[in-house]
Formats: sequence, C-alpha cells, structure tokens
Amino acid sequence: MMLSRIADAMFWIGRYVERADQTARILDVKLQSITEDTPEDFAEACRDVYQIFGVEQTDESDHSVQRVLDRLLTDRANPSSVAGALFTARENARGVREVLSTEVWESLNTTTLGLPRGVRPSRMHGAFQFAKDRCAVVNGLVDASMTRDEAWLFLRIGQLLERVDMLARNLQDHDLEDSSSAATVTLLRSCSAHEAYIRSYRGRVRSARSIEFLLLDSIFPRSAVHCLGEIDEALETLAKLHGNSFDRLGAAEPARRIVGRALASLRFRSLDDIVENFDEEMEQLQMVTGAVTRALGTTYFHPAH
Amino acid sequence: MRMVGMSASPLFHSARTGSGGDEMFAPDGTVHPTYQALHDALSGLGTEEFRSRSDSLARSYLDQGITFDYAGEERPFPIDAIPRVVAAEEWTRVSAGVGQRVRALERFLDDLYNDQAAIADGVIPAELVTSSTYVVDAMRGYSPPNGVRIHISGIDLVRDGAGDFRVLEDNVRTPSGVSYVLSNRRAMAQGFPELFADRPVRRVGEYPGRLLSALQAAAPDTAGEETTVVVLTPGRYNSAYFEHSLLARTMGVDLVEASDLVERGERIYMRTTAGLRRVDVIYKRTDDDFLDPEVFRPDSALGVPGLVRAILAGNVVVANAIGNGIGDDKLTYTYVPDLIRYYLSEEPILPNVDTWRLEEPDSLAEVLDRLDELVVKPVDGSGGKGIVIGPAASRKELEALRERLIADPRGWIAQPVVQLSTIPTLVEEGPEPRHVDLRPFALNSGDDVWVLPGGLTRVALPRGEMIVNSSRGGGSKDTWVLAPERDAAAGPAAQAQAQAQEDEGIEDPMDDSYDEFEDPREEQAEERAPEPDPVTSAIPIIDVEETPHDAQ
Repeated sequence: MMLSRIADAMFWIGRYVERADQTARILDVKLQSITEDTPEDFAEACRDVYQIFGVEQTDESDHSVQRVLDRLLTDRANPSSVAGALFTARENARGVREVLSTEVWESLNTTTLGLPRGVRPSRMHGAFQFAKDRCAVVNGLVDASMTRDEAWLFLRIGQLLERVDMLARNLQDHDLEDSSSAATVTLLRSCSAHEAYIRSYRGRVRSARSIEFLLLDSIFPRSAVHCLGEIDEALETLAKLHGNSFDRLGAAEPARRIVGRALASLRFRSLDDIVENFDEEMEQLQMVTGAVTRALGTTYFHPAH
Repeated sequence: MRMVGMSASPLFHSARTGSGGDEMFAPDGTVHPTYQALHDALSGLGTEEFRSRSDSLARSYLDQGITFDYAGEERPFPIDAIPRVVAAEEWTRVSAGVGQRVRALERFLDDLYNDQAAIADGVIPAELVTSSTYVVDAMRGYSPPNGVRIHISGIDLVRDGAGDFRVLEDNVRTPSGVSYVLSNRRAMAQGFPELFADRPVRRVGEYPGRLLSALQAAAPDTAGEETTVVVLTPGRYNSAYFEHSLLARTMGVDLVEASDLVERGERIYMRTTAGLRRVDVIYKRTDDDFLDPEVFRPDSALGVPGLVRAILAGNVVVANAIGNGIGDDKLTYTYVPDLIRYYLSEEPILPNVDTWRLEEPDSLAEVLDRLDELVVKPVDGSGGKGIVIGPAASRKELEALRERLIADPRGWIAQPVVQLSTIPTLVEEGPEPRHVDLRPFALNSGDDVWVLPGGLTRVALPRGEMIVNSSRGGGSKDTWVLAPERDAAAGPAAQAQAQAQEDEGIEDPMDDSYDEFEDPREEQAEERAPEPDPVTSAIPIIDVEETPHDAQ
C-alpha cells in the first residue's frame, strides 16, 4: 500500500534510467560504426539512428555525428536523450526521496551533476561509458539496498518494460536482408548481447539465430521473452500484495493479460512466423509498453474512488 | 600583536579582530574557555587541511541534494565548518527559557480561541486580536485532542551586547531548519571526526523519533487502530522541500501533497495503490491559507476541501494547529513576557529584545524621530522579508518607510539594532568574524516540552550583514551543546547532575549506528517486551547422535 503518486513516479524512474542506459548503449555502437565505416549514404545512416529513438523529423543540418550527440546524448530538455532521461529520473526521484534509499537518490543526483553539457565525437565513448556506468551503479544500489516492496516492484516493472520497448525499436531498425556478420554483430553489441551470444552459441554469428536470441532466449536477461516473463512475475507479486492472491486464471488484471499475451505470442510461435511480418510484429511489441502503462494507471496510479 | 597571533595560530589570524561580541575570541585575543578545545583542534589542522575539508563539506551537500530553492534554482545550503559551542550551564537556561515560552504561548492560543480571559483581565488589548489577520474564525471553540497546538516550534535567539541570549522572535506556525541541524551534524562528524574527541557533544539524532512520538501523541482516538501520520508538503518546488522529505524519511511516514488527500464523511484519506487509507495526523508544512479552499481561498485549487470540517469533527489533527499565526505575530511577541507572568506565574527566563509598539502614539513619534538608528520589522513577516535596518538604509528608503509606518502602525514594530554576536567563519580570506543567531527547536508532546540540544545557528556571510536568512545569503553552523563535565566534585548536587547526564546522548562519530537517526532511548526501553520461553532450545541444531565423537 503506497501513495498512488509515488507508485507512478517509481515506475517512471525505472523507465527513464533504463532508457538512458539503453540509449547510451545503442548510440555508442551505432555512432562508432558510422564514424569508422563512413557509409556511402551518411545522411541515411544518421536518419536510421534518429528513427530508433522516434525522431522522425530531421533536416540536413541534423545529419552529423555532432548533431546526433547534441540531440540524443546531451539535450537536457529532451526526455528521450541520455541526459534528459537521467534528469527526468532524478526529478522524479526528488519527489519520492522518502521511499528511495538514500544511496539510490544520491547516485542519481551525482549522476546528473556529472553529466557533460556538450560532447565532441572524439570523446563520445567516454560519455557513453559514464552514463552506462552510472546507470549500473543506480541499478546495483536499487538491487542491493531496497526492500522488494511495492515501490521496488513498480520501479522494476518500469525498467523491464522500457527494456523490451528499446529492444523492439532497435530490432525494428535492423535490416533483416543484411545478414552480413558485421551488421549482425553491430545489432548484438547495441543490445549488449554480443558476448552472451558468443558464449551461448560459439563461433560465427548468424543473423536468424541472433534475432532468436534477442527475442526468445529464456535466460538472457535482455531478451524480450525473459523480460516479459519477469514483468508477469512482478505483476503477480503486486496482485498478491494487494490481496488478490487467488487469481485462478492469472489474468484478472488487465496488465497481466497484455503481458501474458505478448509473452505467449512470442514464445509459442516459430521464428519464421515472427519474422514473416517483422516490422509489424516489432511495432506491436512497442504497443505493449503503452498498453501496460495505461493498465497500471487504471489499477494503481489513478484508481477510481 | 598580529605577529603573536599568526605564530600561535595561523588559521585564525584574521578572526582575532579585538572587537567585542565574538564568541570564540575575547577582545584581548585570548580564547574563551568554552571554545578552547575546539580552537586548538582546528588550529592543529592547519589552514590548508581545514580549507580542503571545508570544500568537501560543500561538495557532499550538493551530492546529497541538501539544497534550498533560490529563485527557482537548487543551491547547496552553505555549511560553515567552524562549529558554535554552547556551554552546558548556558544551555540549561536556554532550554528552560524556550520551554517556558512555548508553554505560555500554548496557554495563550488556547485562551484566545476559547475564553479570551487574557483580554478580559487586561493583559493584552482586544485590538491585538481583532486587528490580526492571523486569527482564524473557523477555529474558534476548537480544542485539540491532547490540547497541543504548538507541536513544533522554533524560538529565534540572539546574544545582546552583554553576551546574554534574548528572544528575537517566536515561530509557532511552520518553523523550518531542523533538517540542517541533523545534516550539519552528520556532515561534521564525517568530515571532522577528531573534533568530537575533545569534548562531549550532545546528540541531535533523536529528533525524528521524538517528532513522531509527539505527532502520534496528538492523534484523535483511533479506537485502538494504528495511528497514521503524514507530512504534508506544498511540493518539490517549495524552498524547504528537502526538509519535508528528510523528516518524512527519517520518521518513516508518507510525504503527501494536498492532491494525495481527500475528505470523505469528515475524515481525511490518502490515495494509495490500494484505494483510500485513513490519515489521523497531518504534519503540515504549508501555509494555513492554502490548506482548505472551503475556508480560506475559494479561488484556490490548492489544499484539501473539507479538511477544516474534518478537524472540527475531531477526526484528524493538523500540526501545528491552524490559526497559530497570532502566536508569532510580532506584536504578540511584545506581550509574551506579560503572558508568561499571567499564565504561568513565573518570571521570563529569556528576555525579549526591547521593542516599540508603533500603534502607541508616543512610541510611534519616538520611532519616527529615530528611524535611522532602529530596526523596523513588519509584524507578519518571516524570512527577513520587509525588514529595514535604519543605519544601513538610504534616505529614500527611510522616507518610504516613514509613510508606511504612519499609514499602518499596527503592521510594524521597531527595535534597537542588536549587535549580534560573531563567530569566526570561513570566507575567501580565511576565518573572519560573522554575525550569528540561534534557533532552538522544541517539541510539545502534551506531557512535556522537549528542546533539541543544539539548534540551527545561522550565519550572515557578507561582512557586517545582520540578517542571517538563507534567502539573504545566509549559511549555517553545526551547533554543539556540551554535556556537563563528568568529573565534577562529589556532592549531592553533582550526583544529581551525573544522574541527569545519563539521559543525555553524547555524539560519537565512530559509533556504528551513527548514520541512523535513533529513536529516543526511553521508548526503546518501553518497547522491550519480556522474552517468550525459550521453546527452541528444546530443538537442538545438531542432532546429538550425529555429532562426531572424535575426542574419544
């Protein structure tokens, strides 16, 4: 039992920290690859990067690595940039300090104090590394210092939902036709899955198997199926905390139905079936995030009195 | 003389000015005994080490988010690393004087909202009440369940020319600053642990536990159910938000905004993820005006409609009580010594600063005549707002002030310029004397008024500045109340004192539990229930049969 407003804020702290982390990971890999390879169609490559983060409108002046950094790394006013997401997470945390552990608050606060206002392409890797390290510190402290109460569950659900969402965006951007190992490695690295994949399958990376790994692997902590499974568990614990312990169907709550369907749909279909209409599938996976957020809103954040 | 000072103590060489009114240095340059140990320990650090550790204090405040809101920007609250030291005997007097004042003001407020005997008996004029904008008509006839209206107070003190504490003003609505008392102590204990080795400093960490007890004691009858206490904040953009959050966190209660609360059937509930949950005590940190639009500002979207009805129905208690503003009206202040004599039949322990009431024609004439040498304050101001210091004001400002005083004499009081005491404070050039005041905090649980041994020492950082508020560039110092000497000569009095000090916590930065704000110890003692019979001892951890018999 906690204040609805605070539950809402915890959920968004989870989402924004994860968004900053994922954005930094994806940009780190994509921008490095653009800088190294200088693709023929440079503008197209930049547009692709913007697209992952939902930035549709770009003009010519935006098509440089520096501009991508300005808009998606250091822009504090844009909650979808690395800095903006961390600032938003910190603002949310400031409103709920009494439920966060002091360590978690301080790590978020010092993170925003340390964020650079501008980064040159030559220094971008260091800036991404800083953001990723700081997110790891925050997540580690959340893990090690917070009781597994409702507040933690909301934060955790937010984090996992955002992770699935970013994965779906990243996959949607991936060109399935390009089965070269370079493109596949880039995809795996931007999902922080390259090493895990190699350890699991050894040898050369294969395009189809990589997609399968990212979407369906049951024990890789960043795969869609793994995250959805964790969300379902967290939602179940939440329901129990609220005294709905005997839910025979396990589907009494709208959020659990949405998550469960997405999970079943991915897990019990063949990969061929999923990639048949891949763009659409990934679009739907992103819609899960919005639907779950709304469902949590009706059940917990703004319940009707 | 400066040479001597430098060779003896380079750190403090520009703090020995030879002027009177400094708490560390006498005019002849010697160190006051109370400060001797601290002075020696700081001097031993050396200027460079001292400055670098001071810088890390500021840095840690920024990292921890110990900030106040200044013009929409979060600033670290400046903490000065040279503590203030108050001797044990002097604190005994301060503590008694503050407690006395709170008890008198409690009686006054209760009287005012009920019988108004003090007016009938001619102790205070009826106009004091009828002309005040702070009397809340809706609260007439209301008496809180345990009789307490001033659960939390902060009484501002300054030292006069003779070095004695006087009361500058009372704060019985929403006194702030106690979070800095707690944070300053923690920061000092972390940054300068060795300073605490020399003298026994009394602990401040039990404040949150005491506060929670006082708030719980104020609760309406909950028919045996657990009392729910919340802290009500205007939100994270309020200048004292850090404090609201710290108090909620250290008490372990919810920090709510008005929109989290709702009235149903003359009870107050908060909106939780499991629906509505009843609230019994609200520690409000908002102005009365924004509490309940049904009573105060119908145009306001802020507040909890129906809150006052719930209070009057006796189903919820708000602390401090609504309508306390008349208690710290600066005109009321001038009558407090009389109120102490009237209600308590005692002589005031802590005197007021001499004050002219401008509504008295003779006083007004005298003040207008001497405007350039007096301090003039609005009766309803706080945070140093509206204060005009005669000697520092321009001719134009004084002219404007003169007109305002003539137009609204009830709205102002005047005082002589009090030469606040100084304490060496680190500025750009090193420690220099800066003016300070002191705000001790008191909690009234109904049975007892407890005064936190410490309090907020605010320091005016610009040279010569007399207004210490953070909104005017003020900082703060950790305030050390020394425990009485342990090795006092034997005798009945000394033994009684030794007994008393058993109850006083001594600060120990090396204590493992230091980071927690502890509960008051007597409460812990109370809660220690008798151990149940040790049934588990009948079940051995290791089955005897399975233990190896190597020894044989």
